[in-house]
Amino acid sequence: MEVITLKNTSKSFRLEHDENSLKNRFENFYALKNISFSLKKGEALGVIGENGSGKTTLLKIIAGILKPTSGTVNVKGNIMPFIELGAGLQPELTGRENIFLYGALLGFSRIEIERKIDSIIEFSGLKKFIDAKLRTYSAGMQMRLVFSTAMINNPDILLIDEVISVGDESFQKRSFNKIKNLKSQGKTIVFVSHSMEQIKTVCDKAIFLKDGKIKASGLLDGVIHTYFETVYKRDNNSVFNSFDKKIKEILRREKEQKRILDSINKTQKDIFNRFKIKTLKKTFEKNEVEIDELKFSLSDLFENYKYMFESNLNSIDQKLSSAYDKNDSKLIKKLENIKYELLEDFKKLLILRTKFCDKTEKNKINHTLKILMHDQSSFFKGTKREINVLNEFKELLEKEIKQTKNQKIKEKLLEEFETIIMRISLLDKENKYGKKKTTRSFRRRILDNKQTLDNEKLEGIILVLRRVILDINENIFNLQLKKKNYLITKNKKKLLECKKEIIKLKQKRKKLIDEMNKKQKIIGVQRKNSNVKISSVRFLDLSSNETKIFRPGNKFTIEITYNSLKKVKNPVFGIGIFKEDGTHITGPNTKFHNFKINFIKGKGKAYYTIDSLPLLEGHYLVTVAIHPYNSFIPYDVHTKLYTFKVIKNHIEDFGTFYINAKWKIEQN
Amino acid sequence: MKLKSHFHLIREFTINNFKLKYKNSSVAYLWSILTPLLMLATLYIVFSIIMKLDVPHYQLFLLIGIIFWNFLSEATTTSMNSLLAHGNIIKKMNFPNYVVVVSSCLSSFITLLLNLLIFFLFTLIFNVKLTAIAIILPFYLIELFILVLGISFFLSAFYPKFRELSHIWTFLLLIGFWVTPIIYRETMVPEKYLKYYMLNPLARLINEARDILIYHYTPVLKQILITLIICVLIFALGFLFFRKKSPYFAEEL
Repeated sequence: MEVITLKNTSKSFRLEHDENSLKNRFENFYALKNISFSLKKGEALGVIGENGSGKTTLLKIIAGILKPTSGTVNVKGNIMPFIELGAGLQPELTGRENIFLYGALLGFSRIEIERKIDSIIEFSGLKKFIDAKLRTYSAGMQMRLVFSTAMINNPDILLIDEVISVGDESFQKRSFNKIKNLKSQGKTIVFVSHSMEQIKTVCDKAIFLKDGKIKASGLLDGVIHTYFETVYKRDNNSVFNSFDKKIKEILRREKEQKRILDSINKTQKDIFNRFKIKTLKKTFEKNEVEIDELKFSLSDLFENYKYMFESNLNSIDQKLSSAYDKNDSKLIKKLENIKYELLEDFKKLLILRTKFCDKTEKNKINHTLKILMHDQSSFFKGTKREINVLNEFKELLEKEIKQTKNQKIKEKLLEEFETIIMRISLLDKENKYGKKKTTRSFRRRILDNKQTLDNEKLEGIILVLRRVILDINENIFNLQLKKKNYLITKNKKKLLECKKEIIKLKQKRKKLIDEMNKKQKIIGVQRKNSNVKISSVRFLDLSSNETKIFRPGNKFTIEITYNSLKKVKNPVFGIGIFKEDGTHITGPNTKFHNFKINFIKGKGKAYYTIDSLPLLEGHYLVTVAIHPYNSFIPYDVHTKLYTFKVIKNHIEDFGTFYINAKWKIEQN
Repeated sequence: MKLKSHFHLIREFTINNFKLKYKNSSVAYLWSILTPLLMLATLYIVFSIIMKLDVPHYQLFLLIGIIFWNFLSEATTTSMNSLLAHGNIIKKMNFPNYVVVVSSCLSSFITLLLNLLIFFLFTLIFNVKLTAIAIILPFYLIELFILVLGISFFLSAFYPKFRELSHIWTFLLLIGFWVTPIIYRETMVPEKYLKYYMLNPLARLINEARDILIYHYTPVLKQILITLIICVLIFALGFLFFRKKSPYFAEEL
């Protein structure tokens, strides 16, 4: 049943242009033009748009406060508008008296309210202040009073205009819960907000207003996306500049506040300067409110920007994954560049944000920043960009280490720092020796294999060599750390020794790597003549469509397409899933699972299915191999050639695995 | 909203208006009594002692005029402003606008009633006895209220768009004070103008109130009816005008 129906509704105001000239003094200005939509009972509609786009006018027209110039408005039910904070309240009266006043505005008699006043006061949480004058209330407190009183009206339709964003966090939460509660009770809600997060938690539909017209309407995600596309289609740099300006303004004002406080303290000793103190205090309070407002608008803008970046990144990721499938290297390069720039801007934004927030917020942001860098570095693995990102990461960590005093946290950070340095040194080395990383997802290197004894031996030698090289790497890293220490302590002798040793180790490592490369080449040549080839590997979702993005708990299938030139007896299919940092998560194969394959011949497909993917957010690498039953020397192996990404869903969890488990508490 | 809830609203607004006017301090209330008394003293000195106007019970005669006149001028000025003063609510909530005007008239009416108590005190002091006919007074007061409400409706509906009205109204009130028999008797008006002069409903009401309270005349039914018709007519016109304009207040304020 439609509760709210608007048909071709327009509203125009007469705008006074110039008071001096009588000609063309008035102009008709359309605040709303041909708005049509309908809302069913129990639906929640989000209204988004920039300032002055007609959102409030729309609410006022629905509420019946304004009359439409043309068109019709049909509303069935009891409406409760929250257009602006404090409407209908008297600052000179006490909170209790205002409850009666507001109740009367809602159509309640004194007696009816007297019956309910206890529950109203309780819900507002203002018991202490209820007999104080309203002008002593903060904005949040006023909002609480209004909201709690309005709830006794049991409205069918709620019109909420950005008022919930006032008030402290616990009140916001309670109000939101109340709104959600009301929604589940079948109330209809029209909700205006600048914060997309708020809209997302409350609404299921949305309209986007621009210059009084509906620019987009329908499902939430689509509308929000068009909103961002049209509203934030500006040069990011100019936006950042304006951010910077605002932040500077805040800092300037905060300094001023300090100055005022100082002078208040000074004059306080002087009893005769009461008047001066009063005016000082007044300006102080006024400044405080303005700073709060600035901060609020900044954090709002920030949240929206963050949201925009996140949604953009998501869409780019999707485009990228389809580009990978098509193997369109030009497109891939283009998209990757876009993604890189997006990530860079996002980082800039986050760093800006850290300038004007408190400590807990700062830690949170630093955390997301780290995750972001992690993402970026893993995405651009093996390119120069990774080194750039890692260097940035390093700087960030350095700063953090300097600032933290807690020893445990410091140790953790140091650990992180070490791994980063390891990776940087590794990359430097790779770049020097021109070895190409194999983990780039789209750069497929197909190695073939011939089953020989030599091969087995070579493989073993390579493994040993690898281990030695890793040891050397570790040594070099330790030495580099030492070197840093010496640099700080200015111990020149030891510094020189260190340098020498590092150079020695590096030379040794170079030799070893050369040798390893030679051996690998031999194996590579041999592999080329193999009979069994893996021709493609795909990740499939629930409906067997290819995708690279999964959510925890999704159905996950790896499809291996092979081509066997000859009849091969008893082959074994193996899979390895790795975390991006190299952690081996699982390595199933058909032999371990007692899944016997008699033979393969010609083209075919093998599937490995996980009904409910137990992995959490992150990038994962996949190795696929086909090898004989009695040997681990593969016919064909694609080592970490395939990547997939797991993104967040409703499951809030940390770590790598989503483990389905239950909590239970027993109390006496 | 039902009519019953309108009543609650009016009551709530009136109480609050009254509370805010005196901000819970008794001294402020004293002032509202003192104003008519001081006015009375001044006018009495000027017209009775200096100009030697010969009217029996001139103090009481003056006081009735002043009380009625003060009510009219205070109620109309505050209600003219009332829509603007409550603009915050009118712009942001859907509620019957007329309530604001009625309640501001009502809170002035409370002042009128309190001032009438002073008047009765004066009748005791100057030894003027009240007769049974004084029982009609509430009827006159209701007439007066309706009249003032009608004027207020008209003024308040006109004011948001035409702000010069406040100056014009102050001017009109100044004239009104002198064309209403507050300090003189209507019999002093030349005969040929009297017919038009008595179209002034406030003049009629003041006269009628004086007749029953001070001079103990029995009122003539025809005259009462004429007054009633004039008052109801003004009220109806004002209310209709207000109702026609009321959907646009939210954008005009």
